[in-house]
Amino acid sequence: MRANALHWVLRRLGGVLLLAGLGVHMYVMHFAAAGNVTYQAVSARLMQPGWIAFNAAFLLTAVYHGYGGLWDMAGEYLRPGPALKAARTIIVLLAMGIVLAGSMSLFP
Amino acid sequence: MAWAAHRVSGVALCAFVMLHVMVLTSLGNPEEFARIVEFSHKPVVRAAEYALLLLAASHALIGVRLTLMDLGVPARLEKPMFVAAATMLAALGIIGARAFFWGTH
Repeated sequence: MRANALHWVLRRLGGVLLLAGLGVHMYVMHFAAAGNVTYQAVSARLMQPGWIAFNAAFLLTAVYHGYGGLWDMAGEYLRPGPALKAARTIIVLLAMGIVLAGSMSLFP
Repeated sequence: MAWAAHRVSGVALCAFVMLHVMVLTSLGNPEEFARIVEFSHKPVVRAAEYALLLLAASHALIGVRLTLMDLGVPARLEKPMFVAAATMLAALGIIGARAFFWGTH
């Protein structure tokens, strides 16, 4: 029960953090950088430790919030058994894949 | 209805994040990067990005409202919260439209 409560709180907190992070991400990539979304500019930014840390935290928070949500939804729509196990396995594999792929972009 | 919209938008955003990260991993060199950026300037892609902005904003605003309701905010405030969320979404929609279709983006 305590683990579920912690998961509930972390998902909501993650949502709020994602809101802030998305604002920064959208502003930097789509508004402030207008006309300067080049390989060189993005690469230069992604060499700065602060931006690497921000993007890593953004990625992990997004995956936890989103795929944690899918995990909860699977539990609500599927009865405990092979189908639920399969669905949650797929969700975990997708989440891990996204984290791995995103990390490869951040740490080439 | 808000609960259902929150779920549907959440699933759509999960799919988008997966696609977005997949595209990012393919941007290994300046030429490919420039090609993708050029592609993203097409009107249909701009429209899709604008729709994504609205989808994410809706999901966030509905999520905040649902969380406040879960935390015990009085039922009489449900409608004012809905109005506030709808107003913020409309404002974001106008700012986003200006930036994506007529502005600096």
